Amino acid sequence: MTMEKLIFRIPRKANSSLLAFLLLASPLGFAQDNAPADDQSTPQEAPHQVPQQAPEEIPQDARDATASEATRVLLARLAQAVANLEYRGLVTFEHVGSMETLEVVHGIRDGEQVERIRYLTGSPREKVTRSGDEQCRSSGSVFPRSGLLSAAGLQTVQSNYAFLIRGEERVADREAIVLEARPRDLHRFGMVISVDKETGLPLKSMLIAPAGRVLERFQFVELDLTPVTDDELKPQTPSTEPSTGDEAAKCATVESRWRLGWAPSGFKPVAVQALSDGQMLVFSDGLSAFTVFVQQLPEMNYKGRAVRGATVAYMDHIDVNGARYTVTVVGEIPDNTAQLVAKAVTEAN
Amino acid sequence: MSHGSHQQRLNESLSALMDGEANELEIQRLLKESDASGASDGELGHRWSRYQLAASVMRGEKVAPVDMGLAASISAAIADEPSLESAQQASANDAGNGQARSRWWRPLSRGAVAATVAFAAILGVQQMQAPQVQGDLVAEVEAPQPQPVTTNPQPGRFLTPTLNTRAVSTAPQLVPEQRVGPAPQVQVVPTPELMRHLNRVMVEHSEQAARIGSQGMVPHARATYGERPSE
Repeated sequence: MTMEKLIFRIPRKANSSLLAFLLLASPLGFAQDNAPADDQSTPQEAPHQVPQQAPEEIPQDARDATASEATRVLLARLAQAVANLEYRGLVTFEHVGSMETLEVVHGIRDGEQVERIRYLTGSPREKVTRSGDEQCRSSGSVFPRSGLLSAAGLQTVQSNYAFLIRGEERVADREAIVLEARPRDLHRFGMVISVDKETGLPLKSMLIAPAGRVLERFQFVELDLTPVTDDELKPQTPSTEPSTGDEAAKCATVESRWRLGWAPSGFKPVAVQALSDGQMLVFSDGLSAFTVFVQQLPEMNYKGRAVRGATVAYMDHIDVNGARYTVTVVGEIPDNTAQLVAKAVTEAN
Repeated sequence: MSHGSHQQRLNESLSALMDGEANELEIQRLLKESDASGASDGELGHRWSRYQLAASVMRGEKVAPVDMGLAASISAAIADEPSLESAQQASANDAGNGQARSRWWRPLSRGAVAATVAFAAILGVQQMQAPQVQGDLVAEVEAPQPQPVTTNPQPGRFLTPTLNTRAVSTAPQLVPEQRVGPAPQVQVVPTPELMRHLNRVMVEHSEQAARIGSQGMVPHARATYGERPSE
């Protein structure tokens, strides 16, 4: 039997003996490292190596500060990348036992983000979104395009979530840092985001319910960071209409007719918009969001929950001056929270 | 003896060794040659590595390419050590037999060391991969009974025929408030208006969430998920 056969067969059989083998082998590795150094060793080089081991002795406080600084930098890079990078890729999107694959394209045109998403499985669905970011900003809307971009936004997010760096992994053939956002209360879900080391783009993100249940997982399979052409941002399905529509109207600031008697801590109103049959109010804690719809919908008496993927909708109604309004709270938030919010809707005075 | 036929015979011996069929004479020939040219940087050494690699690939094994430079520096390190040869030098001078034995030893020990290094290299690859295989982060720490999202779509998990399932799965699932007794899932026949409303608010919400922007493409994926397929 030849030597190579021995080498390759053993690993499958006995792992522990392998480990022993590795331990035996590692001194050899060191010897090999040292050998060239010994050959041409200069006296100055040897003391050089000693101070490098000092970081072990940094006090705990300083290390915590360094860690939170590291997450801050990572979050800021993530926010930048999400808003400013052009890319295309293939993605798997999973929730509650089903998985779909989709094609995503993200481009920047005239300072606006243009996204095209096309499902490659299931019924053909496609959408091109043009976020009227510039318009909204010039119209003085309160939309924080990325709450994480500002220092204040970062602070808000960090008061609602504890951020931990959980290690590293490889996603879509790229090295990523795994960041966990752990909620500080029960009114929001956690997230685990694998951030691309090179660009800061989230390569994988999971939404985590209490007890570690994964509600949703979005993960790149393939990512291409070369500039996106105009053609790539055009819908492939002929009937797809770009949902630019009434951007100007969407950005217009509306005085809210409704308010929340109670909202989970950290969720702040970020937008109020008029609908044809009512209003919608958007709240965010910097990472997750929920939207409260108050509408006059005849014949709509359903009361309860509806779930699709990680998104929950809780429906209820309120009577104001003899008129019935349907309240729907929608978001990636726990059911109970959605229900509490729905019950807290009152008319603003 | 021409150089060409010598080389050819060496190659034949080498493949015989690979197949485990080399006789003692062939082994002697190979060892002698490798001693003369240096196993790691000689033509023979390269050919040997190629054969090994090819054999591994044919067996479908994961291959960690062995760095020839590394092998060379290791044999250099070994060469520096007082070898068996020098220990036996006195007796080797007397008998040619003894020198043959020492030639036997040296390349063998080199081979053993090289094998160990290759081993470590392969192990290294496996160790690096292991955490990724286990690595469901959340499951590892917080979840006593994790329900990870199934990676592969399994039509068998659904009771209804595939075509129906697709249509149903993108629609919101209703869980009404009025739960009676132990049966939590009261079957409500959703009106088309209700489903339209729910779909509309979910899509609208996702579009708004996308504007907040900290989640990248995810809200867009959610919004598109509920899009009505084009008729």
